Amino acid sequence: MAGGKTLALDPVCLDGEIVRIMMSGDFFFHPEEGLERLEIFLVEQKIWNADDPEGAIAKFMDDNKYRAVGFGPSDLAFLLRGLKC
Amino acid sequence: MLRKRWRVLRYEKASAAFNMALDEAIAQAVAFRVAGPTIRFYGWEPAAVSIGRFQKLEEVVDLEGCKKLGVDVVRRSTGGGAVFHDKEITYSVICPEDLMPADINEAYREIGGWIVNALKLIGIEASFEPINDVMVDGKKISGSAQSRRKGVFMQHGTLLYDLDRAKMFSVLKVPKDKLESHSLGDPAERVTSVREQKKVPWEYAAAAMANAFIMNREWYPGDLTSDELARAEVIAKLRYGDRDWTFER
Repeated sequence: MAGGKTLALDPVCLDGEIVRIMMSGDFFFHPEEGLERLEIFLVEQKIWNADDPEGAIAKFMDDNKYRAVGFGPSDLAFLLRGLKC
Repeated sequence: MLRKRWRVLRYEKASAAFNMALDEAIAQAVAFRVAGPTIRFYGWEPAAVSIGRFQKLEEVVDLEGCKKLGVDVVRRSTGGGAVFHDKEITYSVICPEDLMPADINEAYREIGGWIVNALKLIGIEASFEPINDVMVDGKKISGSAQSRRKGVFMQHGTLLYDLDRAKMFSVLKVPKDKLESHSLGDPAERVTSVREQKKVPWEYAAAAMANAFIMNREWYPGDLTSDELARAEVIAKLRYGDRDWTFER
């Protein structure tokens, strides 16, 4: 990722469905507590199936005034596309 | 209390949980407007590994190695990577958000500049490298992590004074993708210290840090309040010393 940061996604699956995503790495997220809300948003909206995952993530971040340093919506969208149970 | 007058706390050593809790207690005091902007310098006793808020503990820390060497482990409230705190000078800058650049990257650059100035005072040429590093000859000598909560800016970071590479890399694990993303081979060779660059006593490096941080600022040598200390005790016990918090991810 930008600046040499890491971002990893770990899906939790139930009956072949993703029920939780845990994001981890040495990135920064402001405010820190917002990351959990982003993780919930990704699962609730099944963002990996969205027509424009990058746009949806960017809008969620903007609407909530969240700021990630070390990864961007496109990086997250890229990783989500590869998620499998 | 003058809003822009900085309280500078004297260097003290404490446990990992207490150190992190004290930064948080000071941030609360600043948020409640019972403390002004504060600069703190501190050390770690025993030596410790701090990991970023979002890191998976077992991926980045060798817990067996820590146990064997008596090294503490703490999860920070801030993002960023795992850091081994041993022979170093740690700082925190805690102030109302409007005293720092609104842009996160600019704030990293600003305080990174103070560290570059500190190193210059002891004859070491360094440069700030985004996102949050200070480098000497392409090697990292300082890193930092920032948070903004309830209108309070908090950045803590380290300046490596001396380096025991064998110890450092027997408690830290370098994730595989990190190893692959750098052109330099050995991670142990990607870091350096003040002592490697210039044989100056620890006190000189500490004084240089203090001088660079207060440069062009109104300041006074201050103390922690009993309220900050009491809050820190509670936060250390309930959060940073709590196994569930440490193993959260």
